[in-house]
Amino acid sequence: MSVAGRAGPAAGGRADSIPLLGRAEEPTIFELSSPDRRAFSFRSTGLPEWTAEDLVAAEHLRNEPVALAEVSERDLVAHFTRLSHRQYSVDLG
Amino acid sequence: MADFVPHTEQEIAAMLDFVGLSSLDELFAVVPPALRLAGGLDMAPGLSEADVAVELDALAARNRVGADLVCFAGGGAYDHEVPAAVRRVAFRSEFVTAYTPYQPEVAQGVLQALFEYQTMVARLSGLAVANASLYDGATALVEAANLAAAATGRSTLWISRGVNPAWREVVHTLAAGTGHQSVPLPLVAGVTVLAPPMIDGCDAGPPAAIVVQHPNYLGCLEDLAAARRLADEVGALLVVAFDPVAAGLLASPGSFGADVVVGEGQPFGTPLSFGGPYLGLFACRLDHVRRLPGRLVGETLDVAGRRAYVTTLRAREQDIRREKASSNICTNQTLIAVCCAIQLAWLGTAGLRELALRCARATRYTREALLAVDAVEPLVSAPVLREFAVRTPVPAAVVVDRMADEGFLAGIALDEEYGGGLLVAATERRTRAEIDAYAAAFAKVTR
Repeated sequence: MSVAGRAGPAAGGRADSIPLLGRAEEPTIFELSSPDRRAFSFRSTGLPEWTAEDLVAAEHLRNEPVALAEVSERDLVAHFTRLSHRQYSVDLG
Repeated sequence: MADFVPHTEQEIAAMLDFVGLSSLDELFAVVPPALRLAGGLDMAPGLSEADVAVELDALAARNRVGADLVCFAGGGAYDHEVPAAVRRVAFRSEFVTAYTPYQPEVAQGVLQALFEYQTMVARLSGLAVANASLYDGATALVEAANLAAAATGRSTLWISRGVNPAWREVVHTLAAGTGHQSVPLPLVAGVTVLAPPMIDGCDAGPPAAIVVQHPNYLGCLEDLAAARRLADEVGALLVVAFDPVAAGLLASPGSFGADVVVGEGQPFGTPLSFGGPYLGLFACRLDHVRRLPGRLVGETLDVAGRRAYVTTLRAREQDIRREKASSNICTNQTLIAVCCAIQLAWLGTAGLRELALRCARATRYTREALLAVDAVEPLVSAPVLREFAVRTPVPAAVVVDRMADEGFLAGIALDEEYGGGLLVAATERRTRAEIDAYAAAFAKVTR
């Protein structure tokens, strides 16, 4: 069977059938950030809840937390999935 | 496994007919007989996927893995939680691709993910610029040494004995090619002596870099301000191997004036997996950006004025200007870096701090529990954060063996360089019940 009118053996599909790039920019994860929004959770450990000041001498502690994104898990999954849709790969052809 | 070559006999015949040949042997006749494999490959016939899976499962069952042994080992690779979202998203086939993102028009997904990764690493380290990753922490340290040597025109490194010994070994191995010399800075009470080292009968010359690890291999916190002063006194760069998890609590190396920060990114989104693939974190001050090794992704505008991402400053890379490059690294760990970026986004600002705090709590609780065991003593006296070392009443290697039978990966038996002892780490995954059981087993096997 021919593909798109070409003669010869079937080529197994064509990568240019995919809508590789959207027309709009994808915001950065930092632009999706909203203060105090969160995705993380941790195992319940039952350990004493010592504070940072209990555990580290003041001269070593950072004054401000590291400014990472603050996003929900839904935002996170959607953002990186949308990024994957803007990417050509071996499995596409 | 199933045939990789998809062509049917009919298709092969059609292709041979098209080029005017009658057989595959005729096609390969242009290869001189002396270069051809007489009689074909001496290999057993292929197996089906199902047969291979059975064999590999049997091989894997000979390893005792995380599900069998509760992990208290660290030393540069840590047993952290990897949330389902990280691998679910990162392992989409568009990210699991061998294609290099050299064609930005079809690689915006990976390039933007790497740009976000770089931003996160720069913020963790407190420096202006981070690259798109290197192979692992050890090779990142080698690249830091290369950068320092190129920047200063010197070839000696003063490396603290608090730097992971496996990393120092990699620096030593690569020095066979670069000619760099390493002079150790000793530890006293667990922290680096930040003064010009005594060098026996060897004129190594002034250093290109002072290299310290923070927290160091024994878990102790170093005095980065003093390291910066020493670097200034001798005209060297300050290279800090940092712990990116502890960075959630600790003032950044950049805030102490580090020129280059390197680290192992495995704790973010990559399981222990027998030592690799891991992730080399690398960040530096902006004035070193033209010596930055490896790939660097930058933000720009496309022809339509939309924001877009490209690999940038590529004249640094040796595939462009081999003779002038200070690094031979032209690749990176894209997939592992994407895992890292997703996990850091999952943690976020508050989650990273919470992770570091939980690790520190587990470490303190474990240390107190072990020090309550008869004849277990601290190896060094300096304050620790991420892990700690103890002297044990029986040799540490024996403790590790016996503890495996009790269901624990007890830690790492330290070399004679540190006077023996056991290096122990506890991450946010360790519960009070696990730690109590670990201490009880420890008491049993050291009795």
